Amino acid sequence: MAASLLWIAGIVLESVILFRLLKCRLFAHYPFFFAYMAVVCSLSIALWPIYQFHYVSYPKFFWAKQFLNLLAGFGVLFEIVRKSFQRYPGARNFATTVLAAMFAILCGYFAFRLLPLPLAVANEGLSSLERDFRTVQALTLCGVLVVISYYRIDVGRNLRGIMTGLGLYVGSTILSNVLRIHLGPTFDRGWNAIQPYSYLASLLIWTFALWSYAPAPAPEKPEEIDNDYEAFAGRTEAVLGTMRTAVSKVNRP
Amino acid sequence: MMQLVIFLAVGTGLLVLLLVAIRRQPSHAAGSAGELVTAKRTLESLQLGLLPADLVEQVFGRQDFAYISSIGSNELTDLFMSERKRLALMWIGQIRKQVRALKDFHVSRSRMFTHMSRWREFSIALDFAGLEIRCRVLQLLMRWRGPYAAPNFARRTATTAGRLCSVLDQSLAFLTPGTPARLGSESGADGTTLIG
Repeated sequence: MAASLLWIAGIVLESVILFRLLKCRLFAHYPFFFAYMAVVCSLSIALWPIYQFHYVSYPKFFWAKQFLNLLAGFGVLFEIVRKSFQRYPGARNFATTVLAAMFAILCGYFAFRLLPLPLAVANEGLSSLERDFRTVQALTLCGVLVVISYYRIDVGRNLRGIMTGLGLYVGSTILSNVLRIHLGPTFDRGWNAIQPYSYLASLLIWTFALWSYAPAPAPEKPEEIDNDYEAFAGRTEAVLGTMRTAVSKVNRP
Repeated sequence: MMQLVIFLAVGTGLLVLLLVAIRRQPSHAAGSAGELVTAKRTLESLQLGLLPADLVEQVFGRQDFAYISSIGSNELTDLFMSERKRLALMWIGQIRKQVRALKDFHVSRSRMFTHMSRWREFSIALDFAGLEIRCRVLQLLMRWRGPYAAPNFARRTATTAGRLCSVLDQSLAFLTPGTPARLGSESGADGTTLIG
């Protein structure tokens, strides 16, 4: 009963978010997040009858859903990086370098880990595979958060909400998956609670954050540097003029 | 077990980082004349007031302590130690404050520059982070074990801060008035100009 309620609440919130994204034309500003929500919502609706009436085959579909969700999540990450540093070219250069290096290292690691495995064996460890891919997401998000915190960039309510929701979901998924793998079936109950509730919390955050369009405010005074310099130079010139007059008075015989 | 620790650290780290990023106040773009001059003053107060080697040696060297101890009064030694501890904590507190102000100024400008050097920026970021950690550790050590807890560590912290200051000094060099070299060498003692 509780699981059904959570499922329905999830679909309702996903629909509300999609509706607000369409109504406020937010989909034009955040196309990857819109695509992510569309994928997640369609899969939730499609899987509902299987969960209710043919539970035996549900786990297979669950992992397929998780992987589609995961891939769409990378699109959201790309959007976060693209949008966060849009107005900060210096920070964008720095973030791109950090993330490219991180991605290269992580892709190398996964290629090394997965390529030697036959497909059947790889499929068996889906839970650990999801944990690993979520870890890639988490590390990428960590990189973005470090750069945002370092440069103290205001990303705006929408993007802050997207990051918080995604971070909360990814972080709790990693923690629950790793504990499930290490503790075994004893942790199943905890895993069954953490996964849906953290996702529901993320949906709530996204609903509030994306209720209306609230982009990052423009940096306050990027163009004023030159203007201020003019004023600064003007003041110096005035002082120099006064000094010149004083000196010429002294020099007079 | 190692794997468990790594994944737990990543999950927890992400959640903590998220909390830090949400709570952190964004800063505006610096670059106005007033801010440039303030940054320059901060830099000068660090370079000339807080970081000179002789001052660091005076605060963290044991010469004063040896002199007070030679008098043989426990009361005086205790008083000296508490005063020196207060002074050392003030010194490190000021360093932290000034370095933080410089960092705020630096990042609010560098984030706007397209042609900044990524490696230089990375190295500066590491220096700022390292310095912040060093200052914090030093504060804890001094609170716990007194002013002479880690004199070499304090000296190294001052050296790192000095290095960082000299890097940042280059970006604010245009605010330092140049001294006309010929004026000093080619003027007479009475102030008359010796050149054409």
